[in-house]
Order: sequence, then structure tokens, then C-alpha cells
Amino acid sequence: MYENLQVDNFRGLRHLELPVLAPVTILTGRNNVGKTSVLEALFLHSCGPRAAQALLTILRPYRLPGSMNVEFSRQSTPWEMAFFDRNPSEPIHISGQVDGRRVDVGLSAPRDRLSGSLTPDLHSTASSSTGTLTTVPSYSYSMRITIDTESGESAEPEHREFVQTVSAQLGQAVLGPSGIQQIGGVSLELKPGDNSDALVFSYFLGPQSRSLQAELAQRYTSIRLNGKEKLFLRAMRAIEPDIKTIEILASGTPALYVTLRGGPPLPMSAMGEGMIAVANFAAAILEQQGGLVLIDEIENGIHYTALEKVWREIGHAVGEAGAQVVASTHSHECVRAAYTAFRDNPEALQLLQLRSGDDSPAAIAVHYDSETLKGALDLGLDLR
Amino acid sequence: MTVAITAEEGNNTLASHEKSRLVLVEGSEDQALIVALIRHESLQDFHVHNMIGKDGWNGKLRAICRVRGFGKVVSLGLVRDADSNGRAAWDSCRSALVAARLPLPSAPGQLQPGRPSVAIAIIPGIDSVGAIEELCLPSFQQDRLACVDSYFRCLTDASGVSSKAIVQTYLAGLRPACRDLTIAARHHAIDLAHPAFDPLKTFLYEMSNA
Repeated sequence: MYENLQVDNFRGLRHLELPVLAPVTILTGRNNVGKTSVLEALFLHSCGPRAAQALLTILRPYRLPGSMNVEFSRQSTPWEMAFFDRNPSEPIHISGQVDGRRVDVGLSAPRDRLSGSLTPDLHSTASSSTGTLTTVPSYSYSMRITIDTESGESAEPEHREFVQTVSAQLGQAVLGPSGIQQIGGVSLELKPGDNSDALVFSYFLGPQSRSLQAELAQRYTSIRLNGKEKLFLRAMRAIEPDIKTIEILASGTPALYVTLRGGPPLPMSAMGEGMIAVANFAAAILEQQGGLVLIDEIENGIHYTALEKVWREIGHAVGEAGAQVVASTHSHECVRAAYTAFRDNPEALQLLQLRSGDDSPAAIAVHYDSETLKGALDLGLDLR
Repeated sequence: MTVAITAEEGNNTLASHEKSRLVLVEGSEDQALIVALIRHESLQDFHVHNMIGKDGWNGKLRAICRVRGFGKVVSLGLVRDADSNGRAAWDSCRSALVAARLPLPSAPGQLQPGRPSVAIAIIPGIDSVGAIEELCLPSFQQDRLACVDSYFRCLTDASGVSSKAIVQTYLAGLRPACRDLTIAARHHAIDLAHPAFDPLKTFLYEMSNA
């Protein structure tokens, strides 16, 4: 479990320290203060050797949904959106205490690793995929990932380095939610692939990524195989008490189906937004023992009257799976519901309010333990 | 004349600390009285915040410290009713200050230097029992109080009458009548020049001069 985190030079965060991370941590703060960036930083850290891949295949599509152009030039790299001020010359550094050991993850993308001969207008138009294909040389850009783990009780300190390289033969290529895609038959390739293990098994869930039915069915399969389907059902009943059964049916792509009050099985995709959201939360928490689940805008699609039950079930599932949840919200009702749901287990919940500092523009994370959170709620202070 | 409590002095929203002097009280009557005293003494740059009861001050104080701009607060005052045990109220305040890692005064009314400087006031006093009513009663017109006393003696055994009942009856007899000390403080119906309020004024001056 993550106990704290420090982030440097990542997206809009020059420097940020999260002093405490609990089994369940709520992130609040005004727009553009960096809540999603904190979730992304945790995700990248947990991905470890796969961080560069995660940046391109999961985080970039999340920020820019749908297909997108990945630009390559001496002025622009596919990674640069991750760097503070879009400046890859300042390495990203994410350091976290994980199960008692500090693990530092560094990401750098030096410009001198750019190879290939680029035409001046290589990335300027989508139509370049047709007429100029044969004249454009291949080129690539690399991300160097360093992982330093401090010594533990029975472990030596460890230093590892990885280089992931993205290469293409076009000025423009397309990335989709499922990974590297292509334009005009020319692929964008990322090497190496999934050879190295992530540091912590993690999920990144945003409002846009809660409707991937095939992935949900796949996760539910793992849950069934691990004998945790009753926990999943229990979590789902927090938002829909009339659910009788949950099963996977394969009429085409395998998908999750629910039966309500003895009626016919209905695809999960036909259910309300809140049910789909909770299904994704529960599946991510329960799929792997000790996983990290990062949820952006957790209240999205969930009626306020169900929030307390949802939090209670999240807490229960987290306890059963030894998982950790970090979730952002803009909702006061969501924060109050979380406090109420965790009243009997206050140590499991913390709130971090992100904001710009009183005396400097650098972001700070203001920590509320359960008692302080209660005090703030009783006084009607704004935690959002 | 009706005087509204201004946002600066008594409003109970606190998006950020804008004033350099912060007084925390446990109820609206204490809030109104202290706001009235601040005005009476023409003190500046105070915010008086209602902590909504005497429970949970450890968490509430820590939450107040986390509100944006707390670094601007130069002096912090905690005002609590003695109720049945002034020492217990004092200990409760100190416990909240310890939990919030704030400076600890060693005696009521004494300003403990720090960032911010901190003082505690127990109403009516650390070795007394009671609350704001006991503080205010000596300032009331004694001939009118005698009428209130007669009234209760006529109705029942006056020894069992609470201070709150005496205060409310007294305030009901004013013209215009005041429902409670909050209204009375707002309507200038309390003699704030009375020496009964001197300890509280000294406390506020200590905060103001920090």
C-alpha cells in the first residue's frame, strides 16, 4: 500500500507532497489544481517499468479522448504533455513509500535520443499519410525510466533502468483507448512491451473509461476465479438492491449481464451510469489482492442518496482485497457520505485537499484525518 | 436601533482567513456579545467564528487551522463557557490546542506568543460555573433584576430558577423586548461599558496588541 507520495515536474505539478495515503483517500480541490495529475502520478509510479507505455496508451487518451495525433518533431515529442511546462529536459520524479520501502521512479526523455531525419512539415497535416509516405524516414523517441528501491529488512537497495521507445514512419499516428493504432498501414510501435512487471497492480478509472464492457467481463472472470463474486454482488446491490444474479454471457463479445427481480438477463451496458460506475469500481478493487484503484470524479453518475452505500461497499471491498483506493471528487455530498460510511473505521479514510499555497503558486496537499474531516463538516467548511 | 453583524466580524462562513485576529466561540450568543464588545472598543481586523457547540473542538480547531490563509492569523482566541466546571473547559481548550500543535497559554487571558499567539478565555471564569448569562447578569440594571426576582418568587421557589431564565425574562421586559442575548447584543441592549466585561475586553485587547 502507498503510504505517501512526492511528485516533481509532472504535468502542472512542479512539486507536490502527499503526506499520507490511507486505504481510502479522497482528493479534493478546485479545478485545475492537479487532482487528476496526482492520480496519474500514482498510476505512473505503480506502472514502474511500463510507465512510458501507460502514458501513451492510457493517460493520454484519457486526457484527450478518442483518436489523437501524436506529433514528432524536434520541437514536440509524444511524451512532452507529461512534463511540467511541457519541458522534457526536466525529468519527472515520482517517489512513494510502498509497503514500508521508498521507491523512486524517474522518467526522462532527453531530446538527443530523437533519431531519424524529419521533414519540416512532417506532422503538420493529416493528409501527409497519403502522398508523402514513401519519402518520410522512420524515426523514434525514447523514454528512460529509472526505478530506485531503498533497502528493506531483508532486501538490498535496487537500481533498475528501462528504455521504452516509440517509433513510427509517419508524421502522424493514432492512439486509441486500446493501445497503439495506425494510419495508412504504418504502425506506431512501442518497445519493449509488457515484459516487465508493474510495481503495483493498478487501475485508472475516469468517467470516460467506465464503459469498457469487455474489460469489465474480463475482470469479473478473475473475480469469479478468485471466489470473490459474492463481494462483487454485494457491492452492486448497494446501488441496485434488486439485482438477483450477475453472469457473463457471450453473444458476440463476452459481457456482464445482470438479472433484476427474476426478469431476463440485461447487459450491464444497458444499466444506468451509476451502476456501471460501481461495477467498474468493485471489479477493479476485487480483481487483484493488494491492488491500487485510482478513480477520477468518483461521484460522477451516482445519485447522492446512494453515495454513502457505495462508499461503505468500497470500504468493505478494500478491506477484503487488501486494496487501496484514491479518488477525486468535486462533491461536498460525496465527502460527507464517505465520512459517514467510514465512521466506524476512521483510520481507513483520509482526505487531501489540493490547493495552491498561501505564499507560493506551488500546489500543496492539506491533510484531513477523520476527526479533522468531521470538524470541517460540522463547521460547514468547504472542502471541495 | 438594529445593527447587523457584519460579515467581517460574525459571519459564520469561512472560505479563507482574511482577518488577522480570530476568536472562536461555542455559540451564537457568545459570538454576538464578543462582536458587540469588539465594536464597542473599536477594535479592528477581528473575525469571530461560531464553533457550533462545545463538542469536537479538537477536530474543529484543526479544520479551522487548515482553512486557506491561516498563516495570516496573528492572534487566536478561544472562548468557552465554564458550565459546571471551568477547569474542565480550560483543559478542553488546551487539549484542542495540543491536537492542533498550537501554542499553549498557561493561564486564562494570558496570550501565549507564537504563530499565531494564542489566548483562552473561560466565561465567566476558570474557577466559576455558568456561561455567558453569569457574565452578563451583573451588568443588568439591578432594580429591573429585582422585579424579575419578585416575578419568579411569586410563581415558584426562586432558588431553582436558572440564570438563562432570569436573563430571558429580564430581556423580555426591555423595550423593545429582546428574545435572547444574541438579539440584545445586536440591539445595544447590554451595557458594554460595565466592569463585568473588563476581563473579556482585556482578552480582546491582548489579542489586538499581539
